[in-house]
Amino acid sequence: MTDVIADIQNLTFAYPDGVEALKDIRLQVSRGEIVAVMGANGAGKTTLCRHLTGIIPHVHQGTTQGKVVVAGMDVYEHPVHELAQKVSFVTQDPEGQLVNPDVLMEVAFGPENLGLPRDEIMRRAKWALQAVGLDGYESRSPMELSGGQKQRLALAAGLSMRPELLVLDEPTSQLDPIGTTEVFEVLGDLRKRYNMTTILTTHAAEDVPSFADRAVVVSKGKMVALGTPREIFAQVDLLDEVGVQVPQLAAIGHRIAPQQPPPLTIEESKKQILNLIQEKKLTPRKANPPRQPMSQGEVVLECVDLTFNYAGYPPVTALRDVNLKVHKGEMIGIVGQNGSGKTTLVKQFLKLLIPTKGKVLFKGRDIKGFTTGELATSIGLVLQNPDEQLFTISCKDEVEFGLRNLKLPEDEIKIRVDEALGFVGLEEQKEFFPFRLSFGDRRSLTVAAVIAMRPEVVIMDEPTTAQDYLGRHRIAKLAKKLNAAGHTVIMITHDMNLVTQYADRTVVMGNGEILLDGPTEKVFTEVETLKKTFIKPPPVSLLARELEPYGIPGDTLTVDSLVDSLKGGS
Amino acid sequence: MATLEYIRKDTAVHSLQASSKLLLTVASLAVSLFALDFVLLGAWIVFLLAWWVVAGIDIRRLGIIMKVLIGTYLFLIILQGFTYRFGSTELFRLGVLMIGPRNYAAYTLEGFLWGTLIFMRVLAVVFSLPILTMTTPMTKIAANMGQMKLPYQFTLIFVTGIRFVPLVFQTWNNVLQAQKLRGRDIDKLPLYKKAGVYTSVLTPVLLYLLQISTTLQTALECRAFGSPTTRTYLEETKLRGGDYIAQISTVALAASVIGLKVMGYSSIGYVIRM
Repeated sequence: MTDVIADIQNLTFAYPDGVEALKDIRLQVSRGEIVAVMGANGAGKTTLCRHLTGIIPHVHQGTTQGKVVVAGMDVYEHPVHELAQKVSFVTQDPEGQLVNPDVLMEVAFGPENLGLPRDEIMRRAKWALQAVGLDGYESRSPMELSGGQKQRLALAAGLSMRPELLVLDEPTSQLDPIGTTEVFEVLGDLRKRYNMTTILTTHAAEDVPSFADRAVVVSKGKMVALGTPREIFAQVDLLDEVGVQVPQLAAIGHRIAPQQPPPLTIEESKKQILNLIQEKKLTPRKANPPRQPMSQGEVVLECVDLTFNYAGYPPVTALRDVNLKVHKGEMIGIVGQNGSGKTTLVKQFLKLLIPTKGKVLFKGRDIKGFTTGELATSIGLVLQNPDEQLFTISCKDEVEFGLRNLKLPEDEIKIRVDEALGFVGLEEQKEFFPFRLSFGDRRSLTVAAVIAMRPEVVIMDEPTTAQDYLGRHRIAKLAKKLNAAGHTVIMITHDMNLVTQYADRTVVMGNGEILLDGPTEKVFTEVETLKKTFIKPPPVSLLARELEPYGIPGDTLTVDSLVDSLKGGS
Repeated sequence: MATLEYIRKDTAVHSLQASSKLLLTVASLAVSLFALDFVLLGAWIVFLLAWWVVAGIDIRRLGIIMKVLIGTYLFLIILQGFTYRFGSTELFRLGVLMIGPRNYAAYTLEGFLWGTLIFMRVLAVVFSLPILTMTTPMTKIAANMGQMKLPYQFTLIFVTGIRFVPLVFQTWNNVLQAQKLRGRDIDKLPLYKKAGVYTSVLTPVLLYLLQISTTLQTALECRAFGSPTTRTYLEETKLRGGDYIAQISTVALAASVIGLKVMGYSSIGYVIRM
């Protein structure tokens, strides 16, 4: 008989406001399994996690039907601290989870509460920090870490509890690509060494086949699919319908041979394509059509020998002699590992941080003489966390705020508010209190508030964090639309699929320096340099390079262009 | 707050246990309460500044603290100068405001000295705080509180409270930043308008912190906080030679100055009467 560690029986749950978050969920997870839960934002993934850990009903209440038994304990009958000895939960917001003054203490906190011996606590803490790549950070304050590093730390704190069941709610949403893969590798290692079971929610569809035994798809509170990754990713139409990303390789397989099982690895995909070429069902084209050349227009922003140190004992150098020119009308993607200096760089453009050395020029003028408020009328920056950028009582007021600072006439303000809210699809929510909107819509609202001011340059810092597949593409399309309307757009992101699809130029940062800068298709051929800063090209790019000897253009970056080039002669 | 945050250094004070420095804080409180005298308080303040030097605390921070407290000092000497009930040596008068036998429009030397003395009392406590907070990681403080058998819930509230202070400041700054990014030129606004800006910042800060505190509760519970198991403290709290020296010298000096006061010592007793 299989050893079931989590048994969800006909679970239906509604929050006190009446919103039915889960509907008749039935799921059994065996000991040692790794199960990925996928679904669009608001599908019910987090609510499911809360049930598995007893947070519902002990912290959040609502109306429940059904039963959840975890590690032999009915979650309704056992308090959270009791369940915590068997189940560990890492939530998606690292900021609120870190309570201790230094990294080591943070990781030791859980084992200390369990009353474990000191040497065992130290062993676990060291192991957990090593597992997430934070060894050497023991005495750092969690407050000093970057967003991605905080997420790693939250994960390490969960790991150090060495639970029987690990429940992770989007544990990699703020991590760089290789960091994400490493976390998933750690889960595999935990299973191998401790037979640990993991249930995690994720939007990282590309990685799911490599680590998950099974995947669950939820939509509007219902479980709409359950199976192995191959079974799940074969259901492309269903996934499209519920807003779940199909991995690029499976998407290519579906486009060129829909009747065959989806390929999930580069090897499988390559084999499938070569077979189809051999069978003359595909005829590759030799070269991609020329891409839009990089803009060489007027330089709007320029960094000259820019160095920045964060104060501290000792100071931390976040930027080292950075030289960069941004031309009018460019669409630039900035990528790099957590803590590589991306956010620090764009904050210099608006004097939110003052350079330690070097200077920033806006249209040839040193920004030293301007205030942030003055610069903001020409350079719009949308920061990472929307909740720290919304401060009025309605969406309309939020967009109006900047326009009033520009002292525009009332009729112009009205036109721009309608236009900006329409641009991000929030015209119907004009009078809504911003905090009533979903996370994705709150982020869109911050974009609307910035673009209404019609800045020449729009900078978006990690606009796709914690967004589902559709949300990510909606934001990226919005950025492209702005670019097409004449704005210069700079986008910081960890989503390589988006960068390769939307950015004409890519800047790669690592350790406070610019490692690569050039046309996106060229940058993503520098695999070894990318690896240095924890970036890996999207699977389609790696596949194209594998297929180059067989006539596929090696600089292909998107599913569409690869399929086009495969069907080039057919 | 940066004035009081822990700074990692390798000094004799840093290597002491938190309990030795907690004792110094408690002793400072006792001295300020029971040794109200210029010389006695002055001696204690000098003693604290000696700790500062040994702890390698940048003495320029004194200036920052004084800048924050200068308003309090001005308030005290103005208030006491005009209202001190034993004031008799008039330095100047703004007019006549007789209430009973006392002219409350007259500023007296005794009132000025009394205000200064109360301010010294404040300094005797405030100067002891950086010695604790800037040389002791919060982990050590928490472990010592545990050793003192304080309920762990109390310790955690204390530690997370300290943890939330920079978070409040950080969120506050981020919201202000967001307003600047929408063209609000806060730096150039007159003071009365800045006050309006700060009010509008308060709402999102509170909403955000509320949201974070729910996450925090979840995180704590999920890490077995509140478990009936006896908690282990990672930090060693055993006293060493340096701790004994520090604790004995602290207790000896505090007992001496309080003892002198109790025995009737007064440096300028003819001026100041209780």
